[in-house]
Amino acid sequence: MEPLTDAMVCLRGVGKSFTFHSRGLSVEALRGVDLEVRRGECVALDGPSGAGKSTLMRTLYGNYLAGAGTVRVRHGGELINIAGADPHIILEVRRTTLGYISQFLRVLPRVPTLDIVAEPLIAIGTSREAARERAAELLEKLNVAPALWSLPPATFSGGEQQRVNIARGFAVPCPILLLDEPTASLDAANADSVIALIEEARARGTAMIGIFHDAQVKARVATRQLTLTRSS
Amino acid sequence: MSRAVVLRASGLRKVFGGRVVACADIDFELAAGEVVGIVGESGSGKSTLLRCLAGLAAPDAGTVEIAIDGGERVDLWQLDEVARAQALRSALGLVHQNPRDGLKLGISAGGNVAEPLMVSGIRHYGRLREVALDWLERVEVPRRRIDDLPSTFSGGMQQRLQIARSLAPGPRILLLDEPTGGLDVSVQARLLDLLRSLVRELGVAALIVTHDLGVARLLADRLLVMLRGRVIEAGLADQVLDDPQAPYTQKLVASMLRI
Amino acid sequence: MIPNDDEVAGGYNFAYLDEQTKRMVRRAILKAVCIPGHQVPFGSREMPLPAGWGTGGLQVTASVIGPDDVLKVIDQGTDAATNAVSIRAFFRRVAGLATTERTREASLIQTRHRIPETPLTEEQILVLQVPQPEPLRQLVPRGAAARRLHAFADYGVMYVKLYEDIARFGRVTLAYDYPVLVNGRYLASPSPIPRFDNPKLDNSRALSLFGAGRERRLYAIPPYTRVASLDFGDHPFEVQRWSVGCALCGSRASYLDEIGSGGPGARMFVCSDTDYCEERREASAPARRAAGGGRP
Repeated sequence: MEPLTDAMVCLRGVGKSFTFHSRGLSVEALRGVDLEVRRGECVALDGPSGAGKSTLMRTLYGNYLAGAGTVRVRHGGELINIAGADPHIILEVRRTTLGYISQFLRVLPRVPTLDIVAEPLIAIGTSREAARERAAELLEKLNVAPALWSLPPATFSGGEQQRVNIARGFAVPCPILLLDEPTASLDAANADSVIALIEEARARGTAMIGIFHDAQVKARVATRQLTLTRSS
Repeated sequence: MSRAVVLRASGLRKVFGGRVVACADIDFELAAGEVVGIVGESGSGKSTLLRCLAGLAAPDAGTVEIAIDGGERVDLWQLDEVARAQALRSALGLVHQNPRDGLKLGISAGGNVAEPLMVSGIRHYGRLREVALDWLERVEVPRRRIDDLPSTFSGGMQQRLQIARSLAPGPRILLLDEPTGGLDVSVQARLLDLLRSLVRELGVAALIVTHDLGVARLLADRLLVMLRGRVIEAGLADQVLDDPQAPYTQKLVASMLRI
Repeated sequence: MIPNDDEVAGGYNFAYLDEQTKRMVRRAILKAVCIPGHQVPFGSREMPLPAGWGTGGLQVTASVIGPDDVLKVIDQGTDAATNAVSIRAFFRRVAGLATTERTREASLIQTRHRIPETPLTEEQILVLQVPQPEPLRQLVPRGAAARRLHAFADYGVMYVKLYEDIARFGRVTLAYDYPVLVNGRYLASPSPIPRFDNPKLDNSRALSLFGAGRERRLYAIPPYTRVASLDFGDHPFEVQRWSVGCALCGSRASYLDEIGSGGPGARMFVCSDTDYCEERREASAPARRAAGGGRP
């Protein structure tokens, strides 16, 4: 089956098992997943806990190795199969095409918040000034107090750290975004500002795949749903 | 998109005493600007591999190519000793685990940073002084310490000075052997931060040998896992750490998580 | 001055060394001339002089000197010092050689610590006595390591020494044995001459041979060879200068020694090169030399 010509993401028969050598155990997490996502679509992954929603997101990002099938994303003009791609290519795709917004921030002890958010932009060649300007704009939208921007986020509250991380995830306008529970543990006002950013991105044509536990959030941002079932 | 390869090892093999295989069948490439981690337990052959790459130990088989000025690659161990020293001097920086191995303790901090520049032909005191001060600042050693002997520095500061010395001549390749090995945890964090930003800023390709997977996760784009002298697993750093395939890598990752 | 017959000792080969030894030393010298500034090992012999008193220079002189040569020996600028007197007497005894105190008359000049002020010619050979031929010795104690650095032309350590001096004292503090780069390739010790004399080695018309007997090394600077004293572009090499001229001949262009002039607290500077000083005084008052005027 050929992918649609305008597909941004195209999964065909994706399977993933984890083998635990020390216990002589193999667990199948995904089997035969097919999915196509076009520009401006936001697909919510659904299914019970353990159905492989997170595994699928990570496999898409190249964080997990796909065991079967193809995981293709549109990078530049062409579809690139993340499964089995050279690490350099995956890194390149991640820098400009494929964004990942998760709940957890890996904090670098001494990097100021503003630079953490600006860093992905600088990595793709944006000038330091322009990158910081964009970072400030995002932090403002996400209600991170300007007094905090020059501080490393190590001492911030969980919610603040999460918003810094979301700002970082939105810094580069990637055409494909993976959203891993972006609003979890945020209060209503902050969740609203994150949703606004997601809607903004979708209006721009960004293709998105996300896990949203909050049904209201899901209803607001998702254009359709893919339900996964336990494969084992 | 293919990035220029600045270092390539092919079929590398080093045997000690005719029997002990320190490393074998090592094939890998280091691309411009990327950070590759080599992880494994002590005795896995990672330090020996680094020595072969750094021109300190001749491999018994295989080749080590490094990019020299102009981007051309030369086979390190086919060069005569003088040409090899010249190629290494301009292309490659080496950071030892123990800063005392990479610094000259009898000469000042400034002299340590400036020496490789003098070797490469800079004959202007004021310029040397300027570059030394600039590097001290970049590695967060106070400027006023420029004429102090490194033996009066703390371990962390000595290590930062060693990094300045190895980066000052502008190498394309930086090899680091357990750079945080002998340091306190709080000092380690600062050094890692510094290394990370320097490597990104300078676009230097770095190969970092470490047994600390936390260091590997923080700094490396890609990882090679070594066991008994061989590379048993390689891939994206986060993928190798989050979805390890080989039994040994799984054990290694599991042991890290327990700590 | 040609020695009297009774001054010349019988029973010695010409110039003391046997012919096989001379051949060995000459081969080493030829190699040294071919690789300017490079230290060549040679089989240093026992000489009737303690090592460190010029046995290297003595063997080089003995190997290149011929019966028609006229020898001058200098120690710290003067022909009258003990070392100079005894080496001159040695060659008069074992080679029956003519000797002189005049730089212009000599065909071979063996010297310690100075190079004559009078410019040398293509007809002359300068032999310098060297206690430590390895310029990196203080910085790189292991001989093999120093030889590697020479092979790699890696003289960063020496520049570091200069750098450290400038950082600490504002200038390079080496007053003598100031290292030179010979022919753009080998770092060499000019022997313990004052840095004042270094420029005389650059593009010298005379062949300079350096002998280190105890260290069993010799090296050479052929005529018309570039000899550069190490320095930085913004801290160029400089020779010593004096605010006064020589108290005897008035020269302002020669290396001066400080001597007491008898009066309490009084200081006086005179030429270190006695022949040069005398020649200048003669030129202005020819009668003084005849009257026996030397140094006071």
